[in-house]
Amino acid sequence: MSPGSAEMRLVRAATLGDEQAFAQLVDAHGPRMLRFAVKMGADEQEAADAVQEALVSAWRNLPTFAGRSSFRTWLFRLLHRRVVDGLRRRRPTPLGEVVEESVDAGRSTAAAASHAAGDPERIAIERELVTALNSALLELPSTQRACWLLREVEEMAYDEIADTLGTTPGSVRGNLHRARQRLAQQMEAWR
Amino acid sequence: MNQAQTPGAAIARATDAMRSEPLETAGWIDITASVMRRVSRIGRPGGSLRIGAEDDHGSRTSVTESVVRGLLQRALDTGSHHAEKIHLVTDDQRLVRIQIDLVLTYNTSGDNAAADARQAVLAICERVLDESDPLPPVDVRITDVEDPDSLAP
Repeated sequence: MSPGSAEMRLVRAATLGDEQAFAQLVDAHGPRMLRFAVKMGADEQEAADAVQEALVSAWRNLPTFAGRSSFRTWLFRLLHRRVVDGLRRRRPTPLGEVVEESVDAGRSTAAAASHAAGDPERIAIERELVTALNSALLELPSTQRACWLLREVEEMAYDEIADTLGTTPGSVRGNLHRARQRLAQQMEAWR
Repeated sequence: MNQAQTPGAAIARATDAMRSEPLETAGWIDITASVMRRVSRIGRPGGSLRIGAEDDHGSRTSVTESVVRGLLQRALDTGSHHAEKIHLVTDDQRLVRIQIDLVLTYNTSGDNAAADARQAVLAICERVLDESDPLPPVDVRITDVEDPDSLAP
């Protein structure tokens, strides 16, 4: 059985009320949703709240899920709306706080990297690189940031990103191009 | 900071590091527990079905519709068809009719699939309901035919 059809079985079971099937879907997609929310700029609590609300909304609305997009795309669409709404509601963040938050995010990444590889020099470089990239991402407009994360980190296809963000693949390409240009400018110090 | 040769290479390296971050964080366990608690509270719309008659003390046994739907859904999910909708028609908490919307896999015979589906549904009813409960009629409506390859990611 292909992974896609196995997932559709779980979706159908959950639609008919099978909570265990839904729990499997939550575990399969939730951690990536949480990562996306954090990388979009939500703090830990905001990200957790947005993911919970998106998943509970998915449960309520499963009977209306027509399967025209993938289940993952549908979940990310529910999440993206909530994350963007949360960021809009937030008071303007002073630049210093943004940098501080991104440094914290970099620290957690460095801790993760230290598990993955034992080379201290490599870990230190990756720590700095991820910190710099987190900071650069936070400087992007929200749509460009979402396009870049969904493409480069979540590895979605252009049409999936378009479905997630409620736009067209052409618009996704444009936003991605601008995001890459700006990130390259901001990472110039690493030349 | 000359560890990477170009900004592009630096971004690629940082992106790889981001992708390999562990996903199952300690916080995730709390989130999934909270989601599933809320899901259980919400449940799915639907009541209970009575099984058998009251005993001498007036005690009753019932089963929720969601349990019956789950059993039926699993029984109907074969390689050649699956249920898209399962409607349980009840009268005073008694199951009086079952209506199934069935999706066939391409090249599956509709007649055979409907017959198999009815047989599977009635087998579940016999298992779940009391012997004294009459087996309900089962309506099968074929609503779609799909190509199994289209489900591959």
